Amino acid sequence: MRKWIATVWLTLLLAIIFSFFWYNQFVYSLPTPVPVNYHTVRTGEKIRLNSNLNFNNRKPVFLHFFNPDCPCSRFNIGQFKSLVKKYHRQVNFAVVLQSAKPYTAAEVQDRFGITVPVVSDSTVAASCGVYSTPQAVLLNPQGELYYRGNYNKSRYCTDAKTSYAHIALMGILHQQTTLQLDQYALKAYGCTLPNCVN
Amino acid sequence: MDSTTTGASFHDIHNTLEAYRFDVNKRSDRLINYFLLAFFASGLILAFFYDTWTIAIGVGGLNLLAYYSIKWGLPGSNLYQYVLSVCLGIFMAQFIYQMHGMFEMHFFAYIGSAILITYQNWKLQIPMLIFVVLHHMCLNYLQSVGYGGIYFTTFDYLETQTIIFHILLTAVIFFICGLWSYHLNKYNGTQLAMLSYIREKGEYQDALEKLNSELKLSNREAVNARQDAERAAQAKSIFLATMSHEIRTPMNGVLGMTSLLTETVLNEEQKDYVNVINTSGEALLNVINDILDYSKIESGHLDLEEQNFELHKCVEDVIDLFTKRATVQKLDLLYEIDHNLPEMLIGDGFRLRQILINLISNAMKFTQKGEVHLNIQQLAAEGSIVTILFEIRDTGIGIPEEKLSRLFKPFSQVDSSNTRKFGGTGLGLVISEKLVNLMQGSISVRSKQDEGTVFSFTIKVIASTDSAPLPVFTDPVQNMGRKVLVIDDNHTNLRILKSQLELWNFSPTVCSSPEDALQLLSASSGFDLIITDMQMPDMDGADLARNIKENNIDTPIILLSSVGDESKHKHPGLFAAVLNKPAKTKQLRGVIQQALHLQATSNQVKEKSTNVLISGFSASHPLQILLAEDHPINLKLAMRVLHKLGYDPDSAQDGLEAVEMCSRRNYDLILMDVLMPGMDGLEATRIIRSSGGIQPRIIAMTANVMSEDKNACFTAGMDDYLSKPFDIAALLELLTKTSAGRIKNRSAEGLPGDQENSV
Repeated sequence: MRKWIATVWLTLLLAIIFSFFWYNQFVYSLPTPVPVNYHTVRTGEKIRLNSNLNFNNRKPVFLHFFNPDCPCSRFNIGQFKSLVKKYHRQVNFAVVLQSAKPYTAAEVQDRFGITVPVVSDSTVAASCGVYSTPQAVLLNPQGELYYRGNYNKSRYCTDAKTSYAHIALMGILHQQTTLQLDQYALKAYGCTLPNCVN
Repeated sequence: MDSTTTGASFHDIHNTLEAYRFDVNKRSDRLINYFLLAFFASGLILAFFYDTWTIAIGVGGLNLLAYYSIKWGLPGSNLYQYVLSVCLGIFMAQFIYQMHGMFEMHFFAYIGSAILITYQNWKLQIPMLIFVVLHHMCLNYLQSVGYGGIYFTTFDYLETQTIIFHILLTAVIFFICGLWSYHLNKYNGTQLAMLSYIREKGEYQDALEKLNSELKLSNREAVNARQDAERAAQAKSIFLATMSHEIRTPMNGVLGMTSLLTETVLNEEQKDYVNVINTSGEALLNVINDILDYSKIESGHLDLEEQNFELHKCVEDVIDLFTKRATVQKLDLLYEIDHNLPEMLIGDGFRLRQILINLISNAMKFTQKGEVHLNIQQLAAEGSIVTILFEIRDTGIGIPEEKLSRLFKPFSQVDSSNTRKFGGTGLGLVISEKLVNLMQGSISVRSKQDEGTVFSFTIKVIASTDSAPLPVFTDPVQNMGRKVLVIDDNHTNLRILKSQLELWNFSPTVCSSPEDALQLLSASSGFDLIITDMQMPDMDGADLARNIKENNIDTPIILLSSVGDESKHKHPGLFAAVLNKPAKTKQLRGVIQQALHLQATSNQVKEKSTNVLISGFSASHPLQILLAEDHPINLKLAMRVLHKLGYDPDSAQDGLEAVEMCSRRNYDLILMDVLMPGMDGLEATRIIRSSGGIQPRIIAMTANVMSEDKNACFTAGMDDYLSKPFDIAALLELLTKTSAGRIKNRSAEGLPGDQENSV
């Protein structure tokens, strides 16, 4: 009898443990809530960047919205760096820091091995219509919003078919005017933006 | 090591192993407490990285709950260890999850596996391995097929082949950990058990050594006790010797004087009485001898002599001892000797007599009415070796069967009440049994309560080639056809007399009642002799004789009467002879012959004079004698004996006086008492022997009869030994021997004859 009770008890505990994992996974899979005062920025809109992001060349601009404290941001840092490594000649890359902590650009570059400029400007996200991290924003050489969305359907950017940021980058480089991406590309997932100190 | 010890040892090892297992579990449980705490803390630390607090607290907490709840709920089971195994797997999954597939988190699987070794149970590896395999296989598969909710690893190159390879390696690690667990359990446990066993053996050895030392101590005490016992035995022997001496000394007076009394002119009755006194005195000596014998038996120093003896005489002497007592108790004391037995035997007649006295004395003691019958038969004869069966049957109170076994134990009586009623040392049967055994025989008893007891024993003796003294009686052929009427109410006696008479070629007719006898006599007057018992119901022997005479039958009648019966005097002329019962064979035969051939044998049947103290003895055996004796009665006795033999011996009161007298005069013979005041006989002998000159023959005369006393005499220089109470025949033999030796010596030395010096 005691063994039966023990078996039931252990099964119950196992189920609860499983539930914990499932719930956390479920939370991860939910889209980032849209802020109340969110101002939608549509594709093709002209985005005005501050002087820190003024590259003065005719290359597209790739902005990586990054929060070091956001797990999701850290997952795709590798993906971002591989894109930088591969396309830094054709595209202007920059990291837009979204953090409540007072990180300096040098600290972030050192910590994550980033060679591109790092700017801390909370207004950039609002200009681009970004409300979560990690998010990729691609501006065409005219400064118009070409793509704002996720890097990958997979949290760890392991799925080549849904490597949305890469696809968008290729599109802009090949001067494609329209992008054929699924629903998971543009719906923001990940961490909400913190109240940035910068 | 025998199988029981081995079994016990394995049992001990098993117990030790159990204890070891228990210790391992207990110790491991303590360790696990710390490890689980560390795991839980690790989860909390990892939660800092990706903000996975719910997982860290929730999953980690549930792991702890699962482990401790089972441990608490099933304390007698080791299920909690298997739960722990799974929990460690879940912790690994938790850490991987918390670190979003960080590859290094997989090492927690190996850490968990290593931790589980502490329980030294290889089976614990299995649940964790299964969990890890399932976890990896399932999640990896789900992720690889693109299931949206699964993010297991950040590696985009992880393939099925790789994961299988990883899992196989993991299984190897788990297998090795399980192997170590198994080996630790088996060899550490066994080693520990062996150590424990050795320790235990060591303890046993210590205990054994302790016991050994105690044993040595006990042995030492036992040796001391034995020495004490030997000293006590020695003291007892000395005491016995002293007692023996003290009792024998007055007995010497009694028996010696009785001996002298027999030398005086006595009528038959007086002679008989004197004989009884003498025999009773000797019986008393036998009691003393019993005690000495028992002492000798205890020390294993009882030796038998081998000398010629006459069986009939031996038996009759014993019977004589009890005849008066039988009369008083109104018992029929009967004996019967197988006529096939040789007359003369070689053996220890004295000890045989002792056995018979013991057994007959017992029989009479416990018989109130009826008879005591001694039957002696030849059982077997192989060459000159004869096996003789002695049976002493009585019609006494009998012995309960359950008490028969106690009979041959020292100081044992059938019961205390009997002891009080019948007395006795309780040594008689023990001594008898030992003596019978020494005579290569066995003794047994059978008894029926209130019906009687039969003691029977066998002995082996050698038939002597010496013939018994020739009977003075006529040739048995002369008796052929002579009719003898025997009347006795005792059937056993009738049977004995009948067989004896038949043996002597008579034609006996037995009759159990006087009336029948009278009828027979009236019917036939051809009887040559009538033998009748005195004590019979209805009509006694005297009345019967009177009736016979009244019927004008002049057949001679022999009356068998009890000791002390005055019939002979009361009825002169009625009987041709009166014999005391039981009639001794030779005596009966003589009396019968006397009755049948009155003139021819009247002188012969008269018992040979026992007068051995011939006054002319000294003339034929001249000796100068010195008698050294301190005891006045013994001195008087010895002087009287020597005087009667015609000697005029000098006397000395002690050893010193004997030495002085010896220095003044040459004696042929010194009869030296051993124990004397001042200087004892041994010391006196030594001085005399060391003085030189013509040495007298010195004969020890003492009541000390222990063998060591005899040896002391010989060591001191004495020539021979005469024990008290001394036997006159033995004295005469010594005197004869001494005289012959002196004459021979003097002849050789050319000395003048002895007549001048002799008395």
